[in-house]
Amino acid sequence: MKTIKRKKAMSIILASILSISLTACGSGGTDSGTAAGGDSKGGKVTLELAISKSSQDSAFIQQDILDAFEKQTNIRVNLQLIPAEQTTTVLQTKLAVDETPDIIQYNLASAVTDLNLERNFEILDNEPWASRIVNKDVLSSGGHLYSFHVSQDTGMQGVVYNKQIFEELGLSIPTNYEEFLAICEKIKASGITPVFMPYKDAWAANIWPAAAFADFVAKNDPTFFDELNSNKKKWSDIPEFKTFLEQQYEVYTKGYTNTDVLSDSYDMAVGKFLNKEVAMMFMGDWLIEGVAEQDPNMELGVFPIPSSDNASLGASPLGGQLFIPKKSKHLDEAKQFLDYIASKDVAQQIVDSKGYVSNFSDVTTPELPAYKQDIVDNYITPKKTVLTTDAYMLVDRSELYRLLQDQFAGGLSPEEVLKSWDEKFSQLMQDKGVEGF
Amino acid sequence: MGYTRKLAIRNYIVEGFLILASLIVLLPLVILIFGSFKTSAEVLSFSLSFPETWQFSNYVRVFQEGGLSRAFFNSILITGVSSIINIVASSAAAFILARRETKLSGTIYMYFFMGLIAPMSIITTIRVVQGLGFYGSITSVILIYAALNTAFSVFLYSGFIKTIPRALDEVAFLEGASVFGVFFRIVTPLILPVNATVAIMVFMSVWNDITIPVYFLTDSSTWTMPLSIYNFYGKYSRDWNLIFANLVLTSLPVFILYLFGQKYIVSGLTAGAVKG
Amino acid sequence: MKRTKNLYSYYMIFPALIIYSIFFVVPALAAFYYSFTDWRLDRLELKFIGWDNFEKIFSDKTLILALKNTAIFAIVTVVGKNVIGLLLAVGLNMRLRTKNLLRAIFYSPSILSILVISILFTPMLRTEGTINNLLESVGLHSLSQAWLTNPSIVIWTIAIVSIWQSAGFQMAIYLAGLQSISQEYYEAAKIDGASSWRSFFKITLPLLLPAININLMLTLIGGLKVFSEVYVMTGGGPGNASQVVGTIILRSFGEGNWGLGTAVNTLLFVVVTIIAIPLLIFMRRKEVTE
Repeated sequence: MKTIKRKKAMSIILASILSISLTACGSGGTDSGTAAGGDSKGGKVTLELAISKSSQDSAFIQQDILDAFEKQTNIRVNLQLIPAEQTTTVLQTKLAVDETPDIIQYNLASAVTDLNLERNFEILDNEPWASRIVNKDVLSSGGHLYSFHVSQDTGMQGVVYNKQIFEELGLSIPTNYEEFLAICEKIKASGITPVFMPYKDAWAANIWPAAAFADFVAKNDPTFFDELNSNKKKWSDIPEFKTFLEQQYEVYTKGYTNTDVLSDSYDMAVGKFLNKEVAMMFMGDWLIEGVAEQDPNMELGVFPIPSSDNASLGASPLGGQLFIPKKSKHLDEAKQFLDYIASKDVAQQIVDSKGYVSNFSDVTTPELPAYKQDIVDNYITPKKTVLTTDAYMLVDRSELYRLLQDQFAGGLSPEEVLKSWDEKFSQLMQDKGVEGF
Repeated sequence: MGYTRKLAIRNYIVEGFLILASLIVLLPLVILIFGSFKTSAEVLSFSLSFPETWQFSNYVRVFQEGGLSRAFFNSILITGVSSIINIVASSAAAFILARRETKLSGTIYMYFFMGLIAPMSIITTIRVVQGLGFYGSITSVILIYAALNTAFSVFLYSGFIKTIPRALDEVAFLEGASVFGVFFRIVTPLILPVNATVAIMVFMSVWNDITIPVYFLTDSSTWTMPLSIYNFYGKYSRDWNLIFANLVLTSLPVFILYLFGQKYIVSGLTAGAVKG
Repeated sequence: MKRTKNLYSYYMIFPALIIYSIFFVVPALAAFYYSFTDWRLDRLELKFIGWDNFEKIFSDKTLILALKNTAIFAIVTVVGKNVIGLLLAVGLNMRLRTKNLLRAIFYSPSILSILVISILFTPMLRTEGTINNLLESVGLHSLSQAWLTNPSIVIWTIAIVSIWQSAGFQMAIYLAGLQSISQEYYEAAKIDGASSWRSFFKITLPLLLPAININLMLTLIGGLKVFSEVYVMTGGGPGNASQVVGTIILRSFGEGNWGLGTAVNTLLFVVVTIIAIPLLIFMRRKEVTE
């Protein structure tokens, strides 16, 4: 008797717990950013903008701009901040389960491979601001405009160097590999570590090769990447590639670098420059900004990776663009946001505050920081830049980075690196369904 | 007399050895704690040295920039509710499974146990939650955590409930108690040391988790404390001193819970006496 | 007695069963299906490909290395965590003055998340880092290693850090187990003139079987499924030297091959099941029920 009663009580308790939780989620839903809940709050639309936490200083999401936008259009922009290391996986997952944000900030080149640009994102060719864009290439893929940015200032990749140290030691920018080794020797003699290699972060080991390969290809075999991507040529086919890998390794074996190449990480770089412990690093010019933030008196510059004679400066594809997923639940409002930032006044405000090279015909470029002006004068204007290998890649390159680490651990020769990468590369291309593989 | 003396000496040796061993444990923790009070440059040595000046401002900064008061509240809510649901449900289930020795109960036990081995898939879990209509809510996260830890809790409780003699139950039944009564009033107090251990373990595993909130809580203002650490992964460099301060603050609640629960683990001595 | 058995109502299992089934089992089963497809994020179409993924797995050199590393990691940590945990529990069960303080100290690393531990140890294990500096300062310079960058020892290093973190938890379980053994047994044994070693082997260990079972299972499964420690400390590197099955799964996802990643996950599940279930059944039979 008693037990039967208790059983009944139990099921009632159970049922009530379940129903309470399910109704609670109705109110719990107001905490969440689901699009389903977003509209019902009295007609005000809330846009979800997803962005990596490491890009928190992006001009597009500064509070004053968001507030002004809300005031003008009654559309609220809510930021979804994603931990940097998980940005790609989280965005991929959200796109896969149709929980797409309304706007995403990401890098165009990576979006092509990581986020399946064509399938997931809106084409923006016909947006009101599109006609005012000066450089459409940095925002497009496959002939269509997919992203938005106010800048056409692509990052440069090369050898970031401390100008003051160079001046003190009377060094000039090397134009080939031998000269480069020579200045390394001089820097080492003065007690400073010539090059900082943080190859615990494997991607950093690819800066030299990516620029070197691209520079060589542009000058000697312009159709190489097309042929590579259709399986008509392999990475191992070009003997010079082997040389470039040897070069980078040699800088290490000659003792021109930090001792702990494989356990030092990228986040140590700024500190090393600030303490004047190192003179150079194979990196992108974003590093210069990072150091300048901490100490505006440091003068850093960048010169091309000296893998060949008179190499061109590597240009990374532009990053930090805004994209609109096709499955956004508030397409019109999202496009309104882009319109707003594209408006002359707002765009000018952003370009001025960040020192960008404007990408709008009616927005003027402000005075650029010294190192950027240098780059424009010495490399962009005389057309001595070349898009790095990354711009031509359709697949994930993590395995290549790992193979480079293996090389530095003393395990692989350059031939073996290229051969293993060839195998992996064709397998990845095949998995992806690229023609020819 | 000789025997007690030998015992005393043995105890001293053991104690001394353990104190030395505890240094191995303490050293990295000391580095962590000292580091949290150092300046950005000082902390890079990762050494045992005392901070030059004790930068309490690190903690203030971490608290504010990390939005720790909100995050703390979120963590307490999510961790607390899911842990309670998990513990009560799992210990009840384990109790029945341990007492009923039929093929069915054995099969159900295996069903739970497999949860320790089977991998969790984020995408399919999202789909389930979407299907139920509450993706993005705190409730979904609470239930997910409760589910994820079920295998672990059932497993732990089963092992220990078996050591509580059936005879006690039978006495209670004969006195007219229901199965609930037996469970809550007799068995639960007896497995207090296990309860404390499981409670702390479950609480800790939910508290420290950094994956579920990223995928299931779209509104970052509902995020939990451990995620606040990403506020201090700078764009170009890492402020280790702030990261350490954040780690200390995030770990503090669990540690306090442990100190509090330790009393109950110790009081397990009375459990053994009952058998007498 | 039949009546008593029926009083153990199955209804009490329901809450746990329902929550577990809906939010864990259903998604997990659904995921298994993907192992047999060519699931990729850059394609909408999903094709059933049978065992193809699994064939690919067995012809991959890096995966073989990962299996080896996972086995090493599992064995080292199972032995390390349980032996040290048991020794600590036995020691801290004695009447020591600083008993409670010591227990709290040894247990504390297991309270910190593995993220914390890895963030803390990674800089300390650099060749010019704290650990090597410490060794040098006590004259043990010859013992300094390239802890995380020497391909032949990196997985051992990670295993040791894992033991450091977790042994306190094993200790806690063993302590709970030790404390539920009635003192009467020991008193009876003493009266019979048994030495402490004999009581340990004849009384303590057998009655500790539930605790041993728990710790063995948790450390074994945890060791085979290891992921966070490796990912945060080395990312599987240098190169692929410290890859374990868990990180290989992530690698497949990163390369866009989600079907393959799920397949490896499924494979891991099967392997762990094959190892753990017989062991579990064996241990449960030996447990003493009152």
